[in-house]
Formats: sequence, C-alpha cells, structure tokens
Amino acid sequence: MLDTFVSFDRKLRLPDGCSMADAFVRVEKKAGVKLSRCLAESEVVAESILLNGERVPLPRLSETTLSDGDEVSVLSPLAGG
Amino acid sequence: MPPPEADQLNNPDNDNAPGTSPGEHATGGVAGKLLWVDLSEKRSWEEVVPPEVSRAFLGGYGLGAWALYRNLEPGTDPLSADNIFGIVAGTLTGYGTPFSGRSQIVSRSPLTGTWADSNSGGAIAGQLKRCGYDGLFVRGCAEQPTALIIRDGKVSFEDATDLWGLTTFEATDRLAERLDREKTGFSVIGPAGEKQSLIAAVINDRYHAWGRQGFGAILGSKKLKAIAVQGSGQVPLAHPAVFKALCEEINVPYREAHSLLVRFMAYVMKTNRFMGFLYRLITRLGLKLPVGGNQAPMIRTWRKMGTTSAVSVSTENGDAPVKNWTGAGSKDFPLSTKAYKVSDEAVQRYLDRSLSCGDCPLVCKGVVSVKSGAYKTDQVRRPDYETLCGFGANLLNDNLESVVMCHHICNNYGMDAVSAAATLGMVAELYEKGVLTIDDLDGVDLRWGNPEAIVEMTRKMATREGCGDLFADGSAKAAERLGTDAAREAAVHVHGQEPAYHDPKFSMSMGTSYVADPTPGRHTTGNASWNESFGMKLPLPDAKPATIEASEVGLRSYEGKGEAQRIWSNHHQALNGSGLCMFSLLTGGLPYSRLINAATGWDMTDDEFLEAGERIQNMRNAFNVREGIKPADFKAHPRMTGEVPLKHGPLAGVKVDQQKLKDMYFDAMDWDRESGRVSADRAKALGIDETLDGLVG
Repeated sequence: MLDTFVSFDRKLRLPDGCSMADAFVRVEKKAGVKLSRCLAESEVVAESILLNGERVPLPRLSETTLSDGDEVSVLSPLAGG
Repeated sequence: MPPPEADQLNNPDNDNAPGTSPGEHATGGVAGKLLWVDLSEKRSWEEVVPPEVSRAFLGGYGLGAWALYRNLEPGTDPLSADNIFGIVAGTLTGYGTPFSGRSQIVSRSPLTGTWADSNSGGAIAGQLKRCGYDGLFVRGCAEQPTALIIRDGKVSFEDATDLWGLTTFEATDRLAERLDREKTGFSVIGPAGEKQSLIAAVINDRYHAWGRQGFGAILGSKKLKAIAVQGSGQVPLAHPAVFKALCEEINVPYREAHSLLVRFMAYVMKTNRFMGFLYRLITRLGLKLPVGGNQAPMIRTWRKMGTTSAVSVSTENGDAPVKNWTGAGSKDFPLSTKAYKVSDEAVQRYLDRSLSCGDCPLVCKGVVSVKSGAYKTDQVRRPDYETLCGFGANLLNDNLESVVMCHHICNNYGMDAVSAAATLGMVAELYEKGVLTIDDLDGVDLRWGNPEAIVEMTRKMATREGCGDLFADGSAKAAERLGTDAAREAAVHVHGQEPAYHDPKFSMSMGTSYVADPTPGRHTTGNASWNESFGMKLPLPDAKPATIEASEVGLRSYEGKGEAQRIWSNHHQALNGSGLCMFSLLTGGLPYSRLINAATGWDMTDDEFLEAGERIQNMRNAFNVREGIKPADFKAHPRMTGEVPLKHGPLAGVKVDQQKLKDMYFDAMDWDRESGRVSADRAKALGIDETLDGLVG
C-alpha cells in the first residue's frame, strides 16, 4: 500500500502500482475536487502536472505509475506582478 | 521643438499664479493644460492641450507620448539637461475612481535609449490634477540639488543640499515635516539616482516605485532630489451622479469578498493576524465561506497577500525563472522545501498593515517589519512577486528576511529591484564559474543562496561602493565592461533591460511584450498572456464580437497570437491613458469606457477605447523609430526562448519562436518588420498621420 497523497489535512491510501490517472480519479472521489473537469477545461493546468518536479503530459498519466515517496503537483497559475 | 509659452509663471515680470480654479481649458475629466518647468532657468509656464488630443490619446502615457514626441529632440542624451521627463495623470485620475491611485512618468531611458514609461502607486499625479494640470514636464538641470515644490500650481525651486545623500525614506519624511503628507504627492530619488545608476528608481510617497528604465538617473542628472505637489482644486466631472454610481457599483464585490462572519470578526478583532488564524482555522474545519461573484476568491487572495500569493506556484510551474534562467524551480528551488519559505503565508507573518496606492478597493500591497535578527527592519514595503522571485528563487535564497532587506535597500536607496536582482544572478553565475573571483567581489562570497552576500552586494550596488560600481548600471553594462563571452552569456537582457520574472517558455505572449513593446523587457505593458495562461476574458463587453473572439488564444498554439497581442496591449495602453491600475483587469475588469464617458461627457465606445490604446502604442513606438532604433535591436536572450534549453522541470526542452511571435504582432499592428514604421494607411485610419510628421511606412 502506498501513502502518496497528502492534501491540506487528509491522507489517501493508494494501491501499489497505481497510475497517476488512477490516483487522480481517487482524489476526485475522496476530496470532492473536480480535477478531471479542471484538466479538461484549462490547458495551462493540464500543462502543469508534475511528478517529482518534471512535467507529465496529460496523455501519459495512465502509463505513469507512482512509487512510495513520489510528489505529485497539479498547479493552477496565479498572476504575479 | 520648445512648447509655446502661453503663460510664464515663475517669471519676475509675471506674478500671476494659476490658483486653484481648473481654468478655462478644463472640461470634464481633463484639465487641458500642462505645467512646464525649466530647472536651468528656474521658470515655469503652461501649455494648452487641445481637446482633440485628450480625446485621441487620453491622459497618462498617451498624453505623455504626444507631448514628448513634439517637444523632445531626437538624439537627446537621456542624462543631459536637454532631456525632458513628464509626470502625467490619467483621464480618470483625481476623482477617487477605484484603481486610480496611480501616477505615470515618461521620458527617454538612459538604460535602453528607448521610449521610457512607468506606472506607479502614489498621489503626485492626482495632486497635479488638483492643481489644474494633466501633467508636469521638466527640462534643464539645476545648479545645485533642488526640490521642486508645487502648491496649487505655484512653483518653488528650493535648495535641497540638505536632502542630497539622504535615503528616500529620510528625504520624504523630511519634506513631510512641513508639507502635509496626507495632502501631498512626493517623488524622490535616493543615493542610487544621485549617482546616476542606470537602474535607479524614483520612489513615490515612500513605498511606490517608478522602478524600471532608469528614471532615477534622469532626475539625478538634473540634480532634482524631490518633487512635491499639493493641489486643492478639482477638475469638474461631466456627469458626477453617473460617475459616482459607477464607482459604487465597482466597489460592491470588494465589500462582499468577505462573508458576513469574516467581516464581523475583522471588525471586532485585530485584523491582520486574526484574519490569518481564522482563515487557517476555517479551512482546517472544512467550512466554506459564502462569497459573491466569481472574482471573489481572487479578490480575497490579492487583498490578503498581494502578488506574494503567486511566488511558490510560479516557481514550481516554471513561470518564474530561477538561477539566472538556467534552473528549474521544481528541481532547484522546490515549492515544498524552499519556495514556500518566500511566498504567501510565510510573508504574511511579517505583515504590519496593508498598503494602498490610494483610491483603491483592492489594497494589495503591504508594510512589514522584521523585528529581530541580522535583517531587522521597521515598517518597510513588503516584497511582492518580482522581488521575492528575484532576490529569492532566482538566487536560490530561501531566507525571507534577507529578501525583505534587499527589497528595502532597493526602495530606500531608490533602485529597480528587478534589474538589481537579475544583475546579481549574473554575478552569482560568473562567480560560480570562476570568471569573477572573491577578490573581484571585494570579499563578498556571492554563492547561490548566500543571504549575507546577497544583501551586501545589493547595498554595494545601490551606493556604487567598490565592485558595486561595476554592477550598478545593470547586467548589460556590466557584461560590456567585463568584456568576456561568459559575461555576455550570463547577462539576460533585451536591449539593455533585464526581463521580469516571467518566463516566455511558460506563457509565450509575455515574451512578445519583452521584444516587441517599445520598452524592452517589460512585463506590465499588456499582452495576451492574460488570456493565454489565466483564461481572462477581455473586459469590454460591447466591443465587436470579432475582437472579443480574437482576444482568446491557446497556450501552446501560435494561432492568432499576433492579433490577440494587439488587442490586449492596446487595451493596456488605454488603461494607462485612463490612469488606472492593471490589476483592475485581473479582478474582473471595470466599465472603462462608461467611466470615461461619465467623467468627460464623451461618447466613447469599447472599440474606441481600444483604438485610443492603439494610438498610444503607436506614439510610443514612433518615438523609437525616430531615434533610429530598429525592431531587430530587441533580441530575446537564448535562455528566454529555449535556444539554450532547460534540462529539467516543467519547461525542459520547451522552445518559443519569439521572432515569429514578434512578426505576427508587427503584422497585426501594421508595423513594418524591418523599420518598425506604421503603415500610412493605418496611421491615417487612426488619425495620427499628421502627429507622426511623416514617420510612416
């Protein structure tokens, strides 16, 4: 079993060999975050999915598996000054 | 071409002061006059602005570009007595219009040799309007350090020898001892400007900066330490009741950005620290606060934390370049271990109070104190996105207190934080490579992420002390003086000015601004990034549908980018002409043309608002064309385009064809790609063919 996701105050246990796509589905169900819609609607968010600091393109989410200790980021841009 | 001298004011033979009445030339929203000052001759006079000019170019940069184009001789040395600078008010300045607490300055830049302008918070432009002027233009050079004091239009040239050498805080506070701070707009230079550092800034009302392009050096070259303006009049509004109702309508979502519970708690408790605690408590409990309107979350974020809110995310997603454009934030300065230390909540812990530019419902700035330790500071300007990225992530420095100190040095000594931090990035890189040694740096061990060295070198640059003199004019000049290939490679700039902390590989239209706007390297000149990366909609609901459609583009596709850039940059210039802050755009937009019409009595449409912006952009561009600057002179550094690719992070291997984007923008503007000249047909259609005096394609 993996503990690979920690949100602000929640944990989600993921099965071994879980893909990033599958992880996102589980996050969406558990946390009630409409992640899939966000990724579909926002090109810039879809371009900002990182696994351990490197970008993972949307089409590769299903084939990218997670390991213990991995860090996944889905980043929405914020305007700086 | 000197302006007509309609009335000579500070002339021994003429005692007529303009007084507080707006004068015969004032119409709604427009004073219709400029105040001219000659520091060499210690005299002042007025110039009438024809009403059609105010309509065509609005105020702000537009009026400034019109005035300088006709009065500043091409080829003028920016640091000579012959150079002119202007402080200009927008059409909506001076009435308490939401987002209008801004002042603008125009001139020829000593850093880039190009058209120069800057838009800052601060009261001076509003005070000029209250004196009955749309702008103040200054030429000449004083014999000794001088403070220009203008009270309801009466001009005094005061000896400022006792102020020379003071920091901007000291000089402003000294002047405020005898000029009511609440009723005066102050613009001062610090030691960096006095020493004519090409990246010197002018500081307004202690905390706001005309940062880029070296305006501080221009004032320093004129021995002009300070300008202070007080006005007690008011230029009339054409339809005051309509105007007031529009402003009320604009302010509503800002009041509703907090739920009733939160507003009540803020009312009864000490606001800032308790709000932070309450916010964290509420989110831990999973409570949702009712909010109104879809811009409410953005308003709340910006009001609470300003642009500090974007630092860690932008470092992680690649928007913010790190390690002098050679690193990747997600690898070299990760959000979870480093970037969070110089971002949002981390910065909030030092907040003393919010800070407004004036006349603003958003209040996105702040004042902070570091109460103890090596970087102890008291009531200084909170560093925001550019500074946190520049002195923080860019230099791999996660010591926030040192970043606060660097920002304070820039503010207090009057130096552009963007250029200063970028120059330090170059120096750190050359030091790492051994091109610069510790002896070259006067013993300062400027390793990446060494806070003591970063602070010390910032101070040396601001005062031109020791090796700081080499770096005080920015990275391009430093590289030229060092004369090595390594230095030239490490100096990331566009025609002399360092770009801001937004990587065009993340949002390509930001790069178009850097290389195609008349002021190179600027990120606040309007570009299609607002839609490209943030999905913003053009806030002109009555513009032609085709215009609105063309303003929407994809992130990675090049399709339509030229026309989108044209629309967004024109909109931005019209914003400047109106005197409004660009953050009005990012929190939902305002009824821009309706506000202008209520102030002036015009019947400007949304399309005409954009057209005014296009005229302004053309005047800014024509200034450069007339100076002999070619479009090809603005080159993107290879690190900006990905020609030198990043190896890691979200932008690894990403390239941007900046030349293609520039060409597309030029084509959309009908500017010749080789000469930069606007076509004769487009100039005629915009009604600027005569103004441009033949400088058309």
